[in-house]
Amino acid sequence: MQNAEATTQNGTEQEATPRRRRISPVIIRAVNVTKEYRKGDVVTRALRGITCEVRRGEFISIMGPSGSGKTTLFNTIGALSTPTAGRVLIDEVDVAQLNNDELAYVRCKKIGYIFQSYNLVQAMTAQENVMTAMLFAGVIADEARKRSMRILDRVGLKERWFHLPKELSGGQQQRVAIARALANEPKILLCDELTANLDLHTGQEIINLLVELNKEQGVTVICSTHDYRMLDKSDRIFWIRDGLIEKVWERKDVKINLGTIGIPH
Amino acid sequence: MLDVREQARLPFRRMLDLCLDTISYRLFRSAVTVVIIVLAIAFLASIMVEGYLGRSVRDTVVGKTLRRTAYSRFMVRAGHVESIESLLASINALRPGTTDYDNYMAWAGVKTDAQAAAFLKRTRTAGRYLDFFEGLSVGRRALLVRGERDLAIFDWLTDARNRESFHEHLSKQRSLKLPGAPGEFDAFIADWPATRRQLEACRAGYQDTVHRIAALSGPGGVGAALAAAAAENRTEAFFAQVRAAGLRTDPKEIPDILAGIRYQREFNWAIEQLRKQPVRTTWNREWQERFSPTLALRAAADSPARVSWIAGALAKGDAADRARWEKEKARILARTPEGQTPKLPPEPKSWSEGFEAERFTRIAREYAAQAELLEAEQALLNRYGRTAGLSEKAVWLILVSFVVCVVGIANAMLMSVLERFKEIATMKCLGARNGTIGFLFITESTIMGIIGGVIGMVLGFLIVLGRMSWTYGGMLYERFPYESIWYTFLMCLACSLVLSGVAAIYPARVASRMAPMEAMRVD
Ligand SMILES: Nc1ncnc2c1ncn2[C@@H]1O[C@H](COP(=O)(O)OP(=O)(O)O)[C@@H](O)[C@H]1O
Ligand SMILES: [Mg+2]
Repeated sequence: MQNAEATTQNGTEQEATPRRRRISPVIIRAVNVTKEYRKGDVVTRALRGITCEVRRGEFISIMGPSGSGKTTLFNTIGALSTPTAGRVLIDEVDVAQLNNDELAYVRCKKIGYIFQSYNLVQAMTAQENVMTAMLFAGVIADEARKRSMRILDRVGLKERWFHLPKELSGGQQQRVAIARALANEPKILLCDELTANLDLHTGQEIINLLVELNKEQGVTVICSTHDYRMLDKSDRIFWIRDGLIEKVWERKDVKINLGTIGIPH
Repeated sequence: MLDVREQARLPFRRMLDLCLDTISYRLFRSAVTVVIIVLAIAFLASIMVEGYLGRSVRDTVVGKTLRRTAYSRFMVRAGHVESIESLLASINALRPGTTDYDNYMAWAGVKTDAQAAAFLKRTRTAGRYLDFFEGLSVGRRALLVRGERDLAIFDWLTDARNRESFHEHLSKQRSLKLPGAPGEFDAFIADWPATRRQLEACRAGYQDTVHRIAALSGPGGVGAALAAAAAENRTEAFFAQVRAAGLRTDPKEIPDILAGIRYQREFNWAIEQLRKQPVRTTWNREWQERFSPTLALRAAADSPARVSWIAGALAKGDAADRARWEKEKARILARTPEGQTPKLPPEPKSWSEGFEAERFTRIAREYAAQAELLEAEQALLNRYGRTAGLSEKAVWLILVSFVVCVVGIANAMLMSVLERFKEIATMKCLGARNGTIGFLFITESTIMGIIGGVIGMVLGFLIVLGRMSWTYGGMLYERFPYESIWYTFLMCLACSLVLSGVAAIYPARVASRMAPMEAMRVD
């Protein structure tokens, strides 16, 4: 309880004091990131030197064939695993310098994760799923309950807050997952294969929801996807192949080429 | 400074909520874990409770038979002399301050407390070494002391050459060790002739007393003399005489002794009834069983039919005798010439005379209760011994059950951790600290441990209580060991906590070290 209060107080204090520190427009910076998976003698090079920058409030799509390293990239820029070489800076903080508990803080406060298979805790209701994320952040239970209801309302699931995940459809589960990712007001949303498990219509709704969040709250959204409907919503599109960023399209390029763009290969 | 802090800890109450959610969601898996704990703790509880209840029943029963013991002890002391080995055991069982203690000390010619202490020290040492030799296998005894037995072993060892050979053989038996400090045994053997002389003096004093009591009791023995004294209301004078002869009696025990005498007379009367010829001859035929009179007496306790059958058998015997006598009389009368007085056979004595069904039933019941009590006492003493605490075997079994329990729970928890890898990794993505995740699993296991522990101890307690009250009935509650039972419950609770906690350590470690990256995996 004390912890919770201390955290919130600290948070507001920082908002209030005039910021001495120059706020960098870049929220994620990856410098020459490589990632190798070693299994016995076999080495898989999932990322082979990725350098990129993501600016605050951007909406970014990452595309690429299956096995090209999208998920691995998410793991590394999402502070879920450390790169084999190179540096990842989130909010100008080098992830490699953080200890376990500081990493937990970064994961909790700065990044919201949305997983392809939703990853909701099966034993908990929609509301409890959202609330648990807040409890980990040290929010007191009553406050967390209220706030989780507000967020569920925001994603359009207010009526179904007491349902268990298995009682919800795929789209609804994804909404709960989004609500949970938003629980601690993260600056970054990482969505792996956002619409892969959803039908066309539901997929569109979820995309719209993310775009709204991006516009309204200025959340930086990074999505990996195969879905072309995402493209004209994105500010930039990274095209990944074999662990390297092969191409980066700006929004205007996309608009021009929208008719002809397909998979370049 | 950059905006990164250490993550907050999840409050314990929230952690409990999370655990309860998971436990109730995976009810079957949790139930399996709980059952494992229940079994281990029920086992512990049943062994402990049985020990405590058994000893309490034992004490109750021994307390009940103690009254009878006063009588039989008096009869033994006043009528029989013990063998020297039995004398040694009796002396070692003495408690200071009792009249029996005074008796033996007087017989041994011990006057002062210091002398008594020295004497007792010798007899105790002798008793301890005797136990050692009694515990040897036949083969070892043959090797070490040429197969001598009892106190003759010490006599044999008094000879220096024998002692030398004994020590030589003993030194080769690595697993054997004489009790006591080194050199103590040789000192004891060196002193043994004196010890033996003192024991024999004691026995002689005892014997003199028995002779004197026999002389004053007359041909019927002490029992008859005491019975007669009781009938004539001069027991005090009788006990004073016995005391003058050298046997002190605790005044508190006199009523018990008298009750014992009365009971013995009644018992003798009942057995006499059963030994009567008509009963004896038809007994086996009727019941198709081979009863000794005492067994018959016990059998009669719970069956009025058997008592009336005995009365009937006696009456039939009377009738048969009478008929035979009449016939014989008629035959003699017919043969006797007129005017001559016939030589008639004597009228047969009546079998049924003196038989009282009510008295017989009462005695039979009393005897059956006594016999049951004695049997129970014997069984209880065999089973629960005279000591407190768990036997080595029980401790070993409990430890084995604990190990099995820990392995079982650890296995179940590990399965659950590996099954929930995605959930765990997701929680880490949501900001759970490694410690929080580990603690979550320990808490989960501990909750199940407490549930299982409570169920287990109640179950174990109830099972043992049911079984033992079936066997011992109300006797169980006469000295119910509440404190020990509470202690057992506490012990069970502590054990279940420790077991479930220890079992969760490894699974919790695995969980807390799980990579958050796993959450991204799709399969
Ligand atoms: N945990 C892992 N261990 C070994 N190899 C892995 C692991 N995760 C991913 N890879 C490999 O890294 C490459 C990139 O995988 P991934 O990032 O999942 O691609 P995508 O998400 O674009 O389909 C693949 O060749 C995959 O086999
Ligand atoms: Mg992937």
